[in-house]
Amino acid sequence: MNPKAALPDAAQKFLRTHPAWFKLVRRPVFLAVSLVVVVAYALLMLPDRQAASPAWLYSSIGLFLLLVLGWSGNVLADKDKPEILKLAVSLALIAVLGWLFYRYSGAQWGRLVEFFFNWKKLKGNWWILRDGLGVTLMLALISAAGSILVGLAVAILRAYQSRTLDLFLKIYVDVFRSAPMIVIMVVLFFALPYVGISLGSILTTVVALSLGYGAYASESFRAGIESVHSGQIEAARSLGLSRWQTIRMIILPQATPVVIPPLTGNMVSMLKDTAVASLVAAPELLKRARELYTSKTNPTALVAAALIYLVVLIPLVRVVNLLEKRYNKGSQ
Amino acid sequence: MNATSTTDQMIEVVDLHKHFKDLHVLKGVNTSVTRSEVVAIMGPSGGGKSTFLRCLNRLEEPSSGHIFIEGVDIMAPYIDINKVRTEIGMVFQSFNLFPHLTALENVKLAPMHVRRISAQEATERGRALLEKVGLKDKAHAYPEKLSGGQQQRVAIARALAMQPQIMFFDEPTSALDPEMIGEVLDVMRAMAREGMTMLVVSHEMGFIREAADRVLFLADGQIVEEGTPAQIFGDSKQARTQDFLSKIL
Amino acid sequence: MADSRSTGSTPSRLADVRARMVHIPLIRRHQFVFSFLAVLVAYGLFLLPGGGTPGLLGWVAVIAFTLLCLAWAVILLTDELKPEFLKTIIVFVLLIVGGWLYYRYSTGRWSEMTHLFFNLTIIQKALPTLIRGFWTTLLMAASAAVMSTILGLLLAVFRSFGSPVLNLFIVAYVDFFRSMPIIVLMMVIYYALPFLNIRLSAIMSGILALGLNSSAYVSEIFRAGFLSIKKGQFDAAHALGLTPMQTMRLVLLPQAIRVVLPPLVGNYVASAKDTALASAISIIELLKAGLSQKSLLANPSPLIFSAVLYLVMFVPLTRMSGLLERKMKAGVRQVRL
Repeated sequence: MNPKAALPDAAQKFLRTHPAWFKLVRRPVFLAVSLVVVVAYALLMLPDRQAASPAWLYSSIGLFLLLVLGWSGNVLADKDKPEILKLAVSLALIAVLGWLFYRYSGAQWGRLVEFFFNWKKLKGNWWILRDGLGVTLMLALISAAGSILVGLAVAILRAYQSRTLDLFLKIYVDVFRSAPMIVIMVVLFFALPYVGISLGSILTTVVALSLGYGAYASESFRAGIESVHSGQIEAARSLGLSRWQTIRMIILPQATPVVIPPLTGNMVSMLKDTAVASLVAAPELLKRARELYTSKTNPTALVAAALIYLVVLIPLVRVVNLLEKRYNKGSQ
Repeated sequence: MNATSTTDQMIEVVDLHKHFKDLHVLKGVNTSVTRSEVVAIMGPSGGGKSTFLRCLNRLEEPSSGHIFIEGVDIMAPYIDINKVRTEIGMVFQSFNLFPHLTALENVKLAPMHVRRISAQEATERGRALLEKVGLKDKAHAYPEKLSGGQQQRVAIARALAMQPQIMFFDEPTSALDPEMIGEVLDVMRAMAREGMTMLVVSHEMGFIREAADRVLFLADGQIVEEGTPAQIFGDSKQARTQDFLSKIL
Repeated sequence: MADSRSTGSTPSRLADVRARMVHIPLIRRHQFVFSFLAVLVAYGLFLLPGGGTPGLLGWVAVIAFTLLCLAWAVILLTDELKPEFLKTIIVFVLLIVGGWLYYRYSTGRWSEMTHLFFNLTIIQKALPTLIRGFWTTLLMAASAAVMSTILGLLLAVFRSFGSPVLNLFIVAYVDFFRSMPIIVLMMVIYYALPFLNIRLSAIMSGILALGLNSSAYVSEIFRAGFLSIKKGQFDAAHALGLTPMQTMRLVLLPQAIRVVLPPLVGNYVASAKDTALASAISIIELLKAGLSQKSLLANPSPLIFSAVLYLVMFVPLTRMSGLLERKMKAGVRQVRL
């Protein structure tokens, strides 16, 4: 097969009219010259932070960024260039980006420790954050169990194929998958008391998370149930197995590996959403961090909370990623 | 209704109709099958052969008509259809083995959980059956490791493990590569020799000529013609039958 | 005991099926169903306590009534022989009875329901703010989408160069912004950064947080898109002498975009939903508009209105993005065959 035929027309036409062009940008001379241009630009054209009007500021920085990215991309993408050079270019790129940020963000880096990592201010108050984390984890665990129960129940009920029931459940799933979680929590917390239901903030959070993520979970369970071929169900029934025996011994063992990756992904997202509960007065991590921020007028608590979230969530997100990859490999 | 526990009239079908939405697939089928009879069902695709077979154990719900299995009206309200299904073994075109279980576990599953025999007895029975279909050393293999012919033989062993009175075969060799058809047909021939009552939907002329006692030609939802293989293949009366046979013979 | 003969020697087990066939279970008989129904009606009319909050005995009576009604409904619903329309009627009757019980025994201000939740005069007063909130939501969603696409694409392209140094930073970036809850990010940007003299307006903070978070996902989506191009395309491009940069631009990207579009759309929809979080840093988007008007006018109608607006926007969007994903899966299967 003619490899040229694999390319889109535009590419073929371009190559026909510019046969030697592509080699130009790779020549060392060109690279050196363009590098000089970029450096000159940096020294001469980049404005001071305060000096220029915003439009000029943004466009010149933008142009500089384009030049830098283009130049380094050109070198990095060239498979003929030595690895050492590429390593140097990568480091230089990071350094330049860092320098740009340093120069133009206006940040007073000297104040970084005083305002972001001021552990002295938090002294004796770490227990508050610890309590908040405990509440966060507890909310996540209870809601995870709740959402699995809700999702499983909905999926099994939908498998029973009563058309009215299916319609109602479909509406539930559509509504709770489409509404933002914060809207669900806020409506449950602020509007329900008017119809005589006054759930506390913790209960509201658990109900909102269970119902909202239960909708996603039910879709995952449904996909798992449907991944078992109907022929097997027919074979099971024709052997005389009852509906429940078929579900227990044939469907569930095969649906479970299909269902675990999306379900764990769900639960990690739910852990992140517990932070939203701070808006309905649940005493979880974010809310307690904000209280500390207000009382100490120092954002160290917020930064500490953010770091705690990262420490907890990054490994979990990685694990979920691995599970998804393992399942995808298995199914192929 | 016959009150004795063994009867010679295994299957009786009276005026069976089946509709799929607007499609009238079965248009009044009448037939009966006696003990140890091997009945082959042939016909053009879309003629209703598979649907007919699947109605007999209610994998498809008949729209109207009566079906008697050993004298029991299986369309009666509140009937425990699972019990009826234990007396009918079914082998499918696409094997439908349970992929998460080994061959032996596939065979053991239903006897243990439906007939409630002990694990030991089920294992013994399972091994004996696998040996009978020629797969003694594949007892612990998973279906994905077995060839099509081997999978189908496991499926037959699985159905036989329930010690049914009747066996249904829905195009058992249609999904197999040619070199594997023979091994499955051998098993089926052995079963016919032992006197199993069998209903086979198939295109395998050789097998039908040899092993079938009766052939039903089903087209457009009705039995166009029926008779012994010699009668149907050699001396068919209906134009429709002759037309079909000329295309495949 | 190995039973090699499969017929005749084992007696048929249909004998007990035959025996059981004349026997219709008690709970399925018409007489039972109707008499049970009569008992329920009598119970409902005479034995239930009056309206308002009942005492302990009253609660027991109400709960027993509920359970009995549910049992009756379940008996009928699990009967395979009853027609579908009857089951539909029963579901509706159940809902109505449930609603009636709730109405009778809760302390809700029922007479005021419409006045509270669907008060048109109040909604009219709140409308200008609500509409402004709606446009803000739209603006934030669009800006975040643009920002995340550009950023995510750049990240994916530079990731594909395979430089270990860059990859380290990019992977750290992606891990960071996928794990950080958006609301925490918004608060850090809006409340904490000013202490370092980085002052962003509320809207900018919101857009920045949304964009950064979304860009992490977008870069992974594009990366998956790049990886989905078959190796043969790379070979063909190299054989022609195209630089990897050109290969990227002229060959990879157009094809990758087709693979990438469904999850990308899903990501945009999710990002648009996340704009509601900006209410936490006092941006007057749709949710905050509803909340503030609710406080201002002392009536929850504006909040209900914005919630409904969210549903109206996102139910179709979520369905459409789901359809796109399904079409993509179908497409992949065809390509494989």
